Amino acid sequence: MGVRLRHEREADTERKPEHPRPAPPSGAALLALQRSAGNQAVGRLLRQAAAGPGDLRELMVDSIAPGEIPAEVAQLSAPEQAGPEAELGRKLARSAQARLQRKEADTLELCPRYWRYETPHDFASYNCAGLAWRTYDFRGDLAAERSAASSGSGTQSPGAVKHWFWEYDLHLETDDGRRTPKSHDFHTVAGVVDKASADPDDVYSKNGRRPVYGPRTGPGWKPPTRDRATSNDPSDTPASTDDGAPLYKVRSNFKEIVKLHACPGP
Amino acid sequence: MKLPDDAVRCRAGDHLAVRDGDGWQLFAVEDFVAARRLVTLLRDDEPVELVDELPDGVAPAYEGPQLLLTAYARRFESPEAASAALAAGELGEGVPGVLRPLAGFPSASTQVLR
Repeated sequence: MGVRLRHEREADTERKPEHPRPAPPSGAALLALQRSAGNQAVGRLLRQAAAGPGDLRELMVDSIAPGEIPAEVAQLSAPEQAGPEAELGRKLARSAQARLQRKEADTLELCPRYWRYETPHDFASYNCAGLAWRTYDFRGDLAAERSAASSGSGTQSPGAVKHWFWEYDLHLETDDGRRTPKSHDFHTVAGVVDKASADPDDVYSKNGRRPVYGPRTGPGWKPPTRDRATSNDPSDTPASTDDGAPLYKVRSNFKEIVKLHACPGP
Repeated sequence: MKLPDDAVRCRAGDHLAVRDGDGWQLFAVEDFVAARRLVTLLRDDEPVELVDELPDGVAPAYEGPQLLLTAYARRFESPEAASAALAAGELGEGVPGVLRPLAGFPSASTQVLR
């Protein structure tokens, strides 16, 4: 078997916000982070950051991944900014990056098939389930994938593969009141439980024939209730009606399955 | 678009003899086509436009290459009998515009008549 080519994070296709928000006051930024990461995690981060220029690499915080740091905080870390807020933003980003590196190292050691993802496969040839199971094929039968995800009976232990599976009703709509009938759809992701038996942060996701994005936490990939519809191909182009109205996907009636499976081997 | 691994290799203008129970059915290959599902955009329950289905995880409809066929009702005892009828112009009436996935014509049970 040849050498597997793996995705390099430097070439990541992490989606950028369509409409970057202006920098809010510092209090708003911290509140935004608190909402995203939770009170305890932010409290620990703030205590560490306020303690001075200490090395934050050992900080154990499992609630927020680099891709999930709110835009406000990312803006605080912009190099052209100075002051305690900018420094706080940089420390948070460094801390999250260090934690991600540790989790990736755990994944590589415990279940290497889930270390990032293989790059030789055409994005159009596999979907979310093909990535979640690292089979790199198109697994588009909802009932079969629900059954596969549900069959996990493992425990939250180092090296176990944690699968998140969501199914829901889906329809397309425009802002001016046009909409399609509902269909039933799903999304699924998976990642490896780390050496401390904590959830993974190095979870990748793809939607249909669209590109792979990530990393993030597993729950961070739960599809939003409403987002812009895009073409079901690697170009991921925003979709519109013939008269130019943006099309949005609306998801409702979510059901979630979270199960642990054995690592499938290298 | 990739040809399905197990599907018969044919060209537009060929005829396909397909095993159907104890007999063989004949199809004329008109074209290879790609198909995609469109869904109806409604305003107040009134259809106003068709747009591409844009699914998340589920497989899009009409995956892979499709065959546009003329299907003949007459059944034959063997591919050889179908070939003889074809040569004699005795296929009988056919139904044009039949769409079937190429993957539904496995080489193991399909013979190409040229």
